[in-house]
Order: sequence, then structure tokens, then C-alpha cells
Amino acid sequence: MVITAVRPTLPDEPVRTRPDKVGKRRKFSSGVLFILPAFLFIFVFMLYPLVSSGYMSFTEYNFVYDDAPKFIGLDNYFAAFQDPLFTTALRNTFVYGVFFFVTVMASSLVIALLLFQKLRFNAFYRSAVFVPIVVPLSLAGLVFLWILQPNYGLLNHILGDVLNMPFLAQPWLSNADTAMASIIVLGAWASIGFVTILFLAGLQGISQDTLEAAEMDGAAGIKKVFHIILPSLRETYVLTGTWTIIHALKVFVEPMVMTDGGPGTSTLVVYQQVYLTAFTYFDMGYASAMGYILGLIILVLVVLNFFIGKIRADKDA
Amino acid sequence: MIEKFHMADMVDKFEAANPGKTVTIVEYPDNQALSNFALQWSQDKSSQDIVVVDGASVAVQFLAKDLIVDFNKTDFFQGPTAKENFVGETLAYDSLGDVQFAIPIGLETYNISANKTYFAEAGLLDADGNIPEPKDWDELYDMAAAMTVRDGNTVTRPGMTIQWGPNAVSTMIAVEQAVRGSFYKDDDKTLTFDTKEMRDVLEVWKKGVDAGVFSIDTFANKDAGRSNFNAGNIPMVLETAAHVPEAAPTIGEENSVVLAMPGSMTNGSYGFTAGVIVPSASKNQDLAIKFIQEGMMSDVQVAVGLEWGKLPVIKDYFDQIDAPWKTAMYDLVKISKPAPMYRDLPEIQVTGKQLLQEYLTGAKDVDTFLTEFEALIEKSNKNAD
Repeated sequence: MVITAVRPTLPDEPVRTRPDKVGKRRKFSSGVLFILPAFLFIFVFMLYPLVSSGYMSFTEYNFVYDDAPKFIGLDNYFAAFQDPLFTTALRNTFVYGVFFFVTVMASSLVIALLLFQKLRFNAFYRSAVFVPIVVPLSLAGLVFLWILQPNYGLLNHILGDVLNMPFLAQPWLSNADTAMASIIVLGAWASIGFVTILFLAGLQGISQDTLEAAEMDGAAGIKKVFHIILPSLRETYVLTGTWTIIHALKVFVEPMVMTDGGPGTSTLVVYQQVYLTAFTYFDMGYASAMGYILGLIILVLVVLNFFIGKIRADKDA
Repeated sequence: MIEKFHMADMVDKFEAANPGKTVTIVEYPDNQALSNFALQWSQDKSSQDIVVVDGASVAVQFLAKDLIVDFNKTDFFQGPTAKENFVGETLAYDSLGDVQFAIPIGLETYNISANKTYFAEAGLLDADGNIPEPKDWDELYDMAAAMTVRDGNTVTRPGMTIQWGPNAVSTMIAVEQAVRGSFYKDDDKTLTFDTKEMRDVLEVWKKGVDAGVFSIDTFANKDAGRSNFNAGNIPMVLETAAHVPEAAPTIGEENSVVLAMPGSMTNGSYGFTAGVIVPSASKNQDLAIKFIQEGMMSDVQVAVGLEWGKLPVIKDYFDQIDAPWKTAMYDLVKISKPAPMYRDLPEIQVTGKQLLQEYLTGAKDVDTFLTEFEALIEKSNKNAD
């Protein structure tokens, strides 16, 4: 005899069958499995260090000499703003950041606009602009170091012997007035290619109809650029702006390789001071606090950039 | 460092004498990597059995919490590596009180490496064809100025490069030891640069930088002086005198000479060695010590000395060195002094370099520079534990 038991269902209750439940559970499990590697990566390499260094920033902890971190509240944060090395590094980071931001954004936009035209050898130009991205920054720094060498470097040779203007030759990296400019040039050289590609992608996203309609209405050349193309790139500005702000303020490799923060402290940047404090003086608590201060400043600027972009986009809409 | 110390040869020697034992050498990029090691050691773990540090004073900080082995408490000083077999006071470079925290390897001292060719060109050689020893820094400045080449107002070849990069404080220590006979205050333990003798030197340095006689290449590239000297592009470089044998193949053995900086023949200079340390957390301490004894303290040191000017620390091998610069260099090493073994020496070195560069480039006057430097020393922790 076969007995079949059917659970009574209310009229408006959806009928749930067992295979559906199993399917959902399987779907859920496979979903978890799919996100697990990414979650583990984010947890182990980002979230945990972030929380751990956040806690560390409220402690006094020299890991060579102290047995355990000692909680000291906000003391490290207060100490940072009274530390002339940190405030100098912060000021230098801002100087680098402002010039880097303006140079990279303006140059990339101009190059992208040029590449957007139908030029001969366009593919070659695009590749050429992109090439610096594949060169490791530290290696590029070493090459720049030799180019800028005062007595035997290529730049001074060109200025003095080729262009016959020896008075322009400088000890570029050993002079406080030109060292910062030199590392900004390296940073910009390495970054312009990537930002140009982002701008190009934005330009290619502008509808062809819009461009043609503008031309039919008499907007050509510079007029078209200023009245049609540039306003259409608002979303790209947010993206490129965010990327450039982050890269500008987290500068580290360029001064580390080219000037070691010198001469004196003229190119000392925040992350270099954090690195020295953590890995030369072993003062993890104070280094974490300095890192967090810069992290918060970056966050504020990125959010500001996002909202300014959004407000303008809303206005246009 | 691996190449300079011929470490592959040391390993080959050791592995041949100890079948079944394998030594793996791993290069670390710079001294900052030591912090990662120290973090491991403080957790009683170590992925290294031996660490070689450049400038053993760096190692002194690991004495805290007994992170490294005291060789006096091991069998290291037995047999061929007994204390009496070490050259002079070599072991004192790496000891603090009665703790031998590192084994020295490769003796070096700061002094002037000079290229005789330029001195001959400038008519600066004496009747015997030797470079006369400068009596003071004014005289040294004049020599450097005589060899400085200009094209209009532009200096195309400075007369001298001084190490004012990451090792600027070592240079200051060397120079002060030479001109004053000490770099300590009267208490013999507090570092000071605010002395009449050092002020005079600083004045000459500033004058040399302003005139382009002393190059400031080392601000941006610590190897600039050494590279240019080895390439035969500058007459003098003041940093480790080990560059003399290093440059011999390119500028000629007869032209590459040690020139005593003012006062150094009497008072010495800054002396240092690389240091071999064994982490307390190493699980193979006995084998590590055996490797140092048999591999590192072997005749490989002779080749290292001849090629790179790092003098052997074991007497037998020291005696095998036959080079014109050996005596001059060793006479200096004998009376030279190591850097102060302070816990905060790394901070003094980094911040001191920044302050000196600011003074030399005119961002600070000499009084501000020295006041800030003395304040830095004052607030730093001068203990080693």
C-alpha cells in the first residue's frame, strides 16, 4: 500500500516544493563559495589590517622594545600635529598633490582630445602615451635619477652642450627648489597615460548624434570642445579626479627612489615618514596614526570630488 | 653584500666540509627589512639562522628582549676563532659591555679615497710624487678647489664628493673624531657636534657647497661619489676608504690612494664592520655558529679584502693581504671608533641627515642646525636596551 501525505495549503500561500528549497539552498551555497575567495582576500589583506592599524593608532607600541601595545587614546593624533616632520611631510604631500593633480588632469585631457581626432598614426600615439604605465615606477625613478644627474646627466648635457644654455643646468634633485618639481614630473609622466585612457573612454561614450547635431548647429572646433565635449565628460571627471587625488596623496616611490625625501626635508612626504617611523624606528602606534590621518584626508577629498561632480551633473540634468 | 663578501664561496666551502647540510642565501633589500625580521623574532620565530647587517651598530637595538644571541655565551670563541685570533680590537666594534652581539666581518673606515692623476694635473704632488696630507679643512678645501673644473659659471667637475646622503651622520662622526679626537661630550657617552672644531669644518663645507667645490650629488644618490670615483670622474671622495681597492682596476692601482683627512692620522676616524648576528629564535643556532666559524671566518676573507677593501678580521687572513693601501688603511682602522650604540641611532641618522642637508643648502644657519641637532640627540634614547 502506498500512502501519500499531502500537506494542506492555504489558498493564497504559494506552493513550496522540496526541489525549490534545495535549489535555493544550493544557489545560496554556490553564491557563498563564489564570493568566499574575494571576501577572504578583502578580510585578510584589507579589512583586518585596517581595523588592526586603526586600533594600533590609539596605542604606544614599539614592537622591538615593548611587550604589548599600550592604549593612549588620541595622543598619537595630537602628537602628529605638533611634530614638525609630520607637518612638513603633510605640507609637501599637498604641494605634490596639487601640482600632480593639475598637471595630470590637464595634460591627460588635452592628449585625450588630440587622440580623439582622426589623426594619422593614431594607434601609434595611443600606444606611446600608454607605454609609461608598463614601466615599474621604481625603475623609472632610477632612469630619471641618471637623466637628472648634475654633472653627467642627459638633461644637463642637452641644456648645456646641445642647446648651448649651460646657465639652465641644475643639480635638479639636490636643489630644494627643483627637487619637488622633478618628482612631480616623474609622477605625472607615469600617470598621464592611464588617465588619458580614462578620458578617451569617456570621449568615446559621447553620442555621435550629439556631436553631429552640434556641428550642424554651427558648433565646431574649440566651440564644440568647450560647449559640447567637455560638459559631457562630467562622470569621467569624477572617476579620473578620484583616481588622481588618491595617487597624488599616496605618493611614496618617487621621492623614495629619487631624493630620499631630501634635500633636507624638501621632498619628504607623509607615507615616507610613516614608513620610516614604522620600519626604521619601529614605532607602529605613531606610524599608524599618521597613516590614518592621511587616509582620512584622502577620504574627505574623494567624497568632496564625488559630490561636486554629482551636484554639477544634477544641475545639468 | 652577497657578492662583495663572496658568500657563495663561503657556502660552497661549508657545504663541501659538511655533507648533507645546505645553506640558502637570501638577499634583503635594505636595513628596513630588518624590522620584519625583528617582528618575527619578537614572536619567537625566525626564518633566518644568520643575518648579516651592514654597519653592526644597527644590530645593537636587537639586544632588547634578547632577540639576538650573545656570542660570549656560545662556543664560538674556540679553536681558530678564539678571541686572540682576531685582528686588534676588532671584536670591540660589535660588543656592548660584556655582550658580543655580532661577529665583525670586513673592517672599514671613513677617509678620503683620492685619484692621484688629478693631483698631478693640478700640480699638487710633493717632490716624491705623493699627495701631501692636508693639515686642516681649509687646506683640503684649497686642494679640492684647485681640481674643480668650470665651464663659465657652471661646475663641470667638482673637486670632491662628501657622503652627505643616508650616511651623513657617519661622515660627521668620522670628521669630528679626526679633527677633535672624539665625538662625545666630556661624559664620553653623549654624542655632540656643537664644538668649535666641528663648527669650523661646517663652515668650510658650506663654502665648498656654495662654490661647487664639494658636490652634493649624494643628497639624491648615495652611490654618486663612489660611482664617479670608480669611473675616474672625480679627484676625491670622502666616505668608506674601501673604494680605493675597488677603483684600482679602473683608475689604476698607482693612482687610487688613501688620503688621510685632517687629523685622522693622529685621532682616527669612524670605523665600522658588517656584523653577523644569530637570532635567538633560530632553531639551528649550533649549525649557524659552525657556518660562521668555518664558512665566514675562512680564507674567503682574503679575496674580499683584495677586491673590495674590506679588511679580514682574522689575523692569518689579514696577513695574507698584500696591497699598497693595506698599511695606511689598517693604521686608521686601529685608532678609529665605532658609532655610538644608541637605541635611537637610526632616528639620529635619518633626522641628522635632513638637518645637515638643510644647513648645506642654506635653509638653516649653522646655529639653528646645531641647536636642532643637539636637541635631537638630547631627546633620543641613548641606551641600548
